[in-house]
Amino acid sequence: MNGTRNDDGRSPGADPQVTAMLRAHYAAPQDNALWAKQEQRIMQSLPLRLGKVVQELRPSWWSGFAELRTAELRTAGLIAATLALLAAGATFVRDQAANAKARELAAREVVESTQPLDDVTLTRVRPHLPADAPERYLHPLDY
Amino acid sequence: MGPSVASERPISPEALEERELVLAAQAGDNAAFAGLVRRHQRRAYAVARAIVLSHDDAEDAVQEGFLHAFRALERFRPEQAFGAWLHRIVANAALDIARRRKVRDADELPETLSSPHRDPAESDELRARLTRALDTLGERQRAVIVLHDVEGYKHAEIGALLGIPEGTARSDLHHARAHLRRQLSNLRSEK
Repeated sequence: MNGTRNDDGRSPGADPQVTAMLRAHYAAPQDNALWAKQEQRIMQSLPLRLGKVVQELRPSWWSGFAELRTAELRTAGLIAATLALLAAGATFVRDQAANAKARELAAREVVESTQPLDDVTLTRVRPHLPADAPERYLHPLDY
Repeated sequence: MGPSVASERPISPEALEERELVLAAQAGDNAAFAGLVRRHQRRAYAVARAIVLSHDDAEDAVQEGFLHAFRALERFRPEQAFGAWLHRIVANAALDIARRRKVRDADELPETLSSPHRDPAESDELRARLTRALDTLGERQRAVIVLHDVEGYKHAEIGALLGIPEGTARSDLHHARAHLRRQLSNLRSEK
């Protein structure tokens, strides 16, 4: 992008007089001392600014984790999390099945007791009996 | 002109020298980076000056631009044109400064397009009229006309610098020229 490569302000829409005024108005400073100063200013700003950035990024206690091999840690963490989730799920399902079985046994024990069944007791234990248990379909008065 | 022709074009000594400076700067040679600053700061200033309102803001934009370029130097591919890359960075820095300035000055008096570096031959009256005319021009249109008519950039390059479509740059230039011609017509009839 160096040099002038367009129509140099001479295209049909351009007004040479206005273009000349603009060029005078926007003319870059000609003073070499100013440019030398600007160069010095730029160069001096580099280490200072970068030093500032480094200071801003000073490691905190938790930043030590970042120095570990994060990709491998992430994979190991994902595998561990998946296994833990599967184990928790399996435990939950097993507990639910054990509880259901215990409730069913308790209900069956009540139903199969030698004691006469009243209406309230049968209503309470009926939902816990297996779907094919005949007691589900019996009326207490049948006993 | 096709890419094959462009690839066969011999590299100028200046381009070779610049490439060496870039490679050295990438290797950590600060003197080489200073050489790049020396080589490009005037043009970078011109790009920034077209976008921001004052000489001071243009200087700040150039400094910001070179700082960004320094930080991103590792990612720059030396076969690219350093100037084009740098000017885009400087233009972005200038646009940022212009945006910040706009927010900061929202409740203050409108800023004039002052420039401490003027042609001594330019009369105060002429300068004042031009300043007023430029003041009434939209920010983007002003940048487009300066980049095109003063700095000689093409529409596509202006589009890349300002982050606008080429067609928008073309249209902005047309409107900006018409606006300035209208605003300055009295002045010229008086002369």
